[in-house]
Amino acid sequence: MIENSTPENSPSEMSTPEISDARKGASDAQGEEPRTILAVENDILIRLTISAYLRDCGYRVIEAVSAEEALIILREPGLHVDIVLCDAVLAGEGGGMDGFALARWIRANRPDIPTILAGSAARAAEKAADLCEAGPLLSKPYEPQILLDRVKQRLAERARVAHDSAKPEPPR
Amino acid sequence: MLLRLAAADELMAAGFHVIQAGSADEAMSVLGSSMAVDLMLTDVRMPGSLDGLALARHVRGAWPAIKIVVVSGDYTMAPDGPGDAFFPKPYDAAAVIRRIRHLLDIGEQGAQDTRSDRSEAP
Repeated sequence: MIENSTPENSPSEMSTPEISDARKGASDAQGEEPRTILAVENDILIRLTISAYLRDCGYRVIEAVSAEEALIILREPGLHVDIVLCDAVLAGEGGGMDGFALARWIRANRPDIPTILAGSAARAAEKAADLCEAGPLLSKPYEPQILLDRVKQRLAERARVAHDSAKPEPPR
Repeated sequence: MLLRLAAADELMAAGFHVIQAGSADEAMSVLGSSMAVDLMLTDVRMPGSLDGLALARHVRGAWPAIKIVVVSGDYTMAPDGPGDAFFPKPYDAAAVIRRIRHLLDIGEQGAQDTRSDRSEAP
């Protein structure tokens, strides 16, 4: 669907975005391709709002409705993903995979891709045992600047790990 | 689903603001919200409670101002269905975009203007 204006009412899961200097950090360096975020959220009104915000911040965003769609994207050789932003609950029809399970799959199969999970405090407590494996939980409703800071932080961590692993072994 | 992503990429690259719905139910959620939608591009075969044709008929009845483009892998489908345009798959993205611009009565610059307006919004 195509629309020609900014949503009049942002969903309650996200407060009003402020772009400011948000475009900084959306790519490795000036002139390079923007980083790609895979946004996994089953509530379309939240998904379209966070996706529009992240695109306004200079990121390329691939949208997935469910963990199953996310898996198809992550397994597709032609699609590059730098980071995954995923709702922890993903209450889909038929009791499909939730965000924690998706995060575990990514950890096992695509450890090069950082994951940010988002969810309510109640859900976080319920799934506390999984948090260490799945990574720090981002609380909802989304605070745009916190979301953006988290994306930048996780991408920077990934770049540092990649840099360290590329270093030659020191002489013994 | 990968076709949806590809179509969205093409349309965004052409300067349109694209809302991606994974099913007719998601599309109905958007249409029932306060967001202004000018045109709906829908596949016929979709998950959810309605297929693309039923969705198109509903949208035509409820929001007659919204233009509708239907795409389908079924070549035998009559092109005079519930939409303003029909494209059999695989479709030429450039041809679809040209038709969308025509339906929305905008030139090539029009969609780009829309994107610029959005990016400058607070």
